[in-house]
Amino acid sequence: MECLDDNTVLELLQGALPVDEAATVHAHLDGCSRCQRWVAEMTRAERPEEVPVRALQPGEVLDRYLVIGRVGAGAMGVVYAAFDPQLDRKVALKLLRTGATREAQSRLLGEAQALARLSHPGVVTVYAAGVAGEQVFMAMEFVEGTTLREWLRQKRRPWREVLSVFERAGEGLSAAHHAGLVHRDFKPDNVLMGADGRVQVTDFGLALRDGGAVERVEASNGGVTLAGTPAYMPPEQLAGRAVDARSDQFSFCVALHEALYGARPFPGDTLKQVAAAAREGRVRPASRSAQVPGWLRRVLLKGLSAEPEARFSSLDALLSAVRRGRRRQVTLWQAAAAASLLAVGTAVGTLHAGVGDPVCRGAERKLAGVWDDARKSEVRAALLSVSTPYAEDAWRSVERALDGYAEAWVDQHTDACQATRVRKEQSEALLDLRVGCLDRRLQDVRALTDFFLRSRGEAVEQAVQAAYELPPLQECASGEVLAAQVRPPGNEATRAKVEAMTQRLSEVRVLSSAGRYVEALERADAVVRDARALEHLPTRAEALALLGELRMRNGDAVAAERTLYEAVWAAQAGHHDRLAAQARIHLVRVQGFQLARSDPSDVAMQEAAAAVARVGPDLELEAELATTMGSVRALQERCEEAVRLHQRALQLAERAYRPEDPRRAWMLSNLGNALNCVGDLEGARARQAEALELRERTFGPDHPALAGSYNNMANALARKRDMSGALEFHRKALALHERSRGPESAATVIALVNVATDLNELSRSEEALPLAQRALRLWERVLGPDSPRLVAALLVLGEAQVRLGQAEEARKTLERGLALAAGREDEDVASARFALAQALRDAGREPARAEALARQARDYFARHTVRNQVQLERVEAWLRGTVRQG
Amino acid sequence: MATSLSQLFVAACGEAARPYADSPALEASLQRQLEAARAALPDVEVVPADFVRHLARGVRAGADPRAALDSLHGADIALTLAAARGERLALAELDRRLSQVVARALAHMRVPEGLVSEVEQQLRQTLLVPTQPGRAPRVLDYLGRGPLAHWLKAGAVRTALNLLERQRPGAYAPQSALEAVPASGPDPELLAVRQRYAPEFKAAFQAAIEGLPADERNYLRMYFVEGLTVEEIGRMRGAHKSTVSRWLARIRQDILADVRRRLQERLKLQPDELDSLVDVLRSQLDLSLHRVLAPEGD
Repeated sequence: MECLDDNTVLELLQGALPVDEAATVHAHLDGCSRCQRWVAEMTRAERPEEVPVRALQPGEVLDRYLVIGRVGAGAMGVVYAAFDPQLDRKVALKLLRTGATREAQSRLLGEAQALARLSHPGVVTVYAAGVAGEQVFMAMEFVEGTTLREWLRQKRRPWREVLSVFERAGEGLSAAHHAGLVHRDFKPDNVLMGADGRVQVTDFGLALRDGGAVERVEASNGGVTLAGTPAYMPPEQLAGRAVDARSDQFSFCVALHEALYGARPFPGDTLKQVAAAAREGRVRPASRSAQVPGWLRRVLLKGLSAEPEARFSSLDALLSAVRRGRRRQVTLWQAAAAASLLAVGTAVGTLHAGVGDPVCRGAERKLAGVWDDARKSEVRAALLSVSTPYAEDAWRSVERALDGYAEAWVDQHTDACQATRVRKEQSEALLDLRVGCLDRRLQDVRALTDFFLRSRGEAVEQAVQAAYELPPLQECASGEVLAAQVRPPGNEATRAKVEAMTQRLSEVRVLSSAGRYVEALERADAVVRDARALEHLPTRAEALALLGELRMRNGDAVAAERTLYEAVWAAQAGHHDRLAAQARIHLVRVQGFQLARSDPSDVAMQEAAAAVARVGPDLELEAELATTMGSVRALQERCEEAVRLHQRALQLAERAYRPEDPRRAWMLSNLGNALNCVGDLEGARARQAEALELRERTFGPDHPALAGSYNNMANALARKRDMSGALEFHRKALALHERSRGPESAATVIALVNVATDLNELSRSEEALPLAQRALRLWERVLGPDSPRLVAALLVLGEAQVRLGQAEEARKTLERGLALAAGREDEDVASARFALAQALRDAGREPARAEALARQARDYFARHTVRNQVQLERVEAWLRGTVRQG
Repeated sequence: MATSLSQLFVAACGEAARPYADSPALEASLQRQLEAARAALPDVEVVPADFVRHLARGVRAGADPRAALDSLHGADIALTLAAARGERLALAELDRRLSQVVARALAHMRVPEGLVSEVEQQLRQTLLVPTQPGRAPRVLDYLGRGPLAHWLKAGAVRTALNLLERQRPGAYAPQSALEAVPASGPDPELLAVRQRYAPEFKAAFQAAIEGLPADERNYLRMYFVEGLTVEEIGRMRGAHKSTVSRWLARIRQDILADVRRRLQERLKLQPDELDSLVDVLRSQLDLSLHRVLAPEGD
């Protein structure tokens, strides 16, 4: 057959070819790439004409904004979180869909700028609007919070509360009307509920004009949220006629009706039916359970009139009708309240029935035996069975963490139940999935408390950490996400195997979070072996991800990388999106941090960011991604990026974690280190102080976990040349280690060296000397006389000896240290060379070698000046002096 | 009495339409078409005999002419007839539609600047100037089975593709839906397994794809290679987009199962090796489909 002709293609595209002809056409098409391309182009030409919205990558710069990541997409375009370096603030950067023509662009830009001029507390602030290339964009206030739709979904709310939120949104909308703007797409998704309590209208339908939205709905490719939009549109807009402020009024009333009655006003299964009902004014009868007063219903019905002329003359008019009605209601209410004082006894019962839905009460009962009073006192006894100074504090923190987890668990369980049984917005099947997921989380709690009981007091040091590291409940929040996961095969045997496997996974997870890596690794290996034989990919993926994480935590980066890739593949194949994202984040750490690869880790970051975005809003994942990326960037000395990423991580963590979660302290320290790296020494100190305070709150004052914070504080102060401050914190770390780990532990030796170093810097070398000697003796006893790890102790001892004029001893000490460090090039070695140069000169030996050593040290410090400015100056001064003398 | 429209129509349709010659319903349909054409084109002459003859060409042999007739775009046929006769106003109207269609269709293809007017010129010439003296101009090939604008668009896109191909052979690659899919990272073990069996792997996959009916393969190609949406494919298949999505999901499973079976027959692999192999395939199924379905040299 020859190539298709124009008439045939036309019919093929319309699905109008008769069957027998279609077979011939398809046979030809299958072998002819020209015709394939022709058909595809024809189809694409049907799409609404617009400039495709550019996809931005994290780190990319648009105009002056630095892209952090994608936040979402809607009818008007794609929204990114971005950073405005000029004004040092985070913004929401919206790239708008626009027609391809110059006029379309400038019209859109004009409206965006009008919006930017509008300033009203009820409208999201637009900072700027502009064009970058073909792309029209707006930079807007980044509102931390949720949408009105989400807020309404969270729980059933009394009509007064709903109304007052709508009033505030309505005031914002009305302000826009006064500025000559029509929203064109008002719906609950376009009202933001700030974490600070503000209610703001956003997402003005700038690109939707002259019925454009309806066209777009028909042509949309499914993914975006367009499909819901026409449900809020007035008849004139659906018919493609001109819209004005009264069209927004109609949409406002649809949304308010939905919020009050739990359903949109016009019944129908298809857009066509709904539109017909709207045209004919057929509003659903009020459901009695909604308890919406009659006057409010009358206001709604007027706003929902098919003819714009029959609605309120303006949104202002509607809002004042609402206010009038409410004032009247208050007076009636007060009268009623006075009367009901007499009948309080009977009223209480009815009130209760309305508030706590009895159907879904009782989630607490599932905690029995897992985290109830009896279990608590057992765990307490176990943790306190060994006498350590911090056990009591640790127990209290564990209790707080698990109480919080249990409370959140009960909330989620209740919400899952109500979504199906009370609000009827979720199927039974989705309820089952959510409850199944929650049951697995409860299993994790049981595994943890079992572990506490089994290991008695030995677990106490890691107990707090482990309690906070219980897997997030977020994963169980969405039935849809869970539904996407491949289900275990129907047969009983496999299901039982899957269940046994998740049980074992819970146990390994506890060992991992408690730092028992060797034991955990052994068992994870066994679990993975069995999981490979299991016909259920999500479970196999979980086993692999856990093994990969353990290998990572244990420092076996190469093996970790392989296993994590396997986990990603299995998770993707099993549609376990969250796990895939989690494993990808670990891969960023392994490749960028542990293996310190620079190029592949950029790819890994993008892949991880994409995987996280795919999961949808998930604060914990986003925070973890940001902090991981930040650590990698800090290692690569891309310090400013590191700072921004860690700041973002912290912002997210503030919402994702409870205030005393140890992971927040960890993120604060990360930020502090990154701030040091950009030279903001005071900022760094402040962050480390915050981290320390937080750890003290979480762990109590005697817990070994504080030592890290003490060291961070000391380092931050040392960078500021506040050596006595540094000394104070290094001494605290030393005391803590001596108390909690014993006077001969490795941690104690390192702390001794640190204190001695500070004393040297403070010219108190006579105090430094005995500490350095003690450190060296302890190390020698543990590691033997030839261990390279002795170098740090030898260095600080040698420096003390130089300063105290013991040139000969110093020479011996430092020669020994440099011999042990053969082949190394680092700060310790450079410092040792310089100290040796001084010792040689003071002893009057080998002047040429002394100078050569000092020059070597200077070259090293000059190459790494960020951290070694002071040392560099010292060596140079010394060299000048020596050369002059010479 | 003059010959009725239906007699003219039946004469043009041929023997099969004879039974309808005196059908009043047919006559009414033809009248409606004629009136509609005249109303839509007040400034253009519609010659009934000519018009009806061309309507007849749009009706498929064997189809019920009355039903087929109502779905034809009569006014558009009348316009092409008048343009072919060289009526000034009709030519102007055709020109107007042509430039509109060309600009819109080509905007999506992101063709070089100069190409738009070249396509327009060439298409106008092809449509209106006969290839040989005495032959009918190509605009009369329009059968009215869809809107004239769509038919013109088909010509515009075809012309543009031809011109692009001539300018730089092979340069015009489709916008692939999978261009952005990153290859997953290397797992040395799995890579080794896959490399070892690469030929068998490819053959099994190819065979699985070739086992599909031509139309399914075409739709798969449109989805994976050309990046058309399920909705757009649904329009061609006369199906709802959810039906297309379900079909896509099913066909993915079928292909996987088929490949697994073929691999099992051909290679005597350990079960876990086969599992790993199929896992890799599953995670990269869409990419593999793209590779096998895309035209060579892509």
